[in-house]
Amino acid sequence: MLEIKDVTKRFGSKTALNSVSLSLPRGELVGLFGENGAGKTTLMKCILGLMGHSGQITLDGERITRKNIARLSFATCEHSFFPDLSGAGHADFYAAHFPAFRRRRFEVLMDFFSLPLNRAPRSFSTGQKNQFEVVLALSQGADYILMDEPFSGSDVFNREDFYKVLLGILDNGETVLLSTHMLEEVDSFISRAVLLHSGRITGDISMSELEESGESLMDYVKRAWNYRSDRIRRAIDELSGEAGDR
Amino acid sequence: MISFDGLRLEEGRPIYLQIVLHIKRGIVSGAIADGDELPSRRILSALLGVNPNTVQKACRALEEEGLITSHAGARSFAVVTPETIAACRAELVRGGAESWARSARGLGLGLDEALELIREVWDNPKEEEQ
Repeated sequence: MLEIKDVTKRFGSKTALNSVSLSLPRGELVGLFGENGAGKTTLMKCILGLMGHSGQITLDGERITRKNIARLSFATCEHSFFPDLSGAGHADFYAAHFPAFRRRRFEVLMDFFSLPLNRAPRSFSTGQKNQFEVVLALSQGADYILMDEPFSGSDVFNREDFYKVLLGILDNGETVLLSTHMLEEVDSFISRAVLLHSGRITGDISMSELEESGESLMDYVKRAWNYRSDRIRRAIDELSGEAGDR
Repeated sequence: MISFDGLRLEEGRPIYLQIVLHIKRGIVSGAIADGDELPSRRILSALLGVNPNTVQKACRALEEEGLITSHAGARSFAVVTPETIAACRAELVRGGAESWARSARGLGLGLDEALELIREVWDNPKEEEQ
């Protein structure tokens, strides 16, 4: 169980995370949704200890330190691989540093994305770099896999197929926390949706609960954000008023 | 092995029900025979791109209706008997009639008009669109 209790993070006068509490048991596929600047990346970085914060984050009751950090992995669009080390070189490096490294899974995923093993990722396209980042996060052998907008730059076929492959390879004990804007692409894939809005958790629901309520994920998200369905009409009305003035 | 190639998931309808319906259609059409094996939960989840919980929910519903039996090792097999075929057919036909009646009523048709229309369409079936 990964437990986040009352985590607050401030940047100067701006509050990026405001008393966030969240429990992630093993085996869940959790979608983390929120507008740009909602705090999704900040939350992940706090979990990984990359940012100081107030409040408590524990993994099976223990603080996250060098002793247990390998149980977490992170795929970030800022990229965490070595630009000049080949794919095969990364596999060896990971095998040496992460006892639970899944070499077979690494090879299968490299092949799935048609990523070359013998070239340095510096020469990859942006989409390929993101894919490589995801491959490493999934192959590290972590129990909690954090993915922050992992698919920008990948085309829709690659993304769709990737979710399917993911469902086929994940063990029951692996937890995925996936932040993305592509709600409709992941709504059948995830088991739970967590919404962040202006640094606060504004929604947390299991997909089976949501399905029983008959509400779509998109409607749930809009409702939780107080989405104003009249905003399009208002903008058009205001603009047409402006045009009429001329 | 029971095929799910023909199943296209639709928005706005519980996915587990769409999986259940796919099996019922297969049983009625004869595409699924008695003892045909279902792909494993994990494979099915990956094939359809849906969460394993959803697949599990569909399998539980199918078991409760007696349309599949599950054995050790999580292997599941279709139960196709004259009784299950009849039950699935009755349910599918009734479901179709209900949804047609709902939309006809929504368009302002009365019962007599609706029956007349059915009779007319029944006697002059259009070629099915490809």
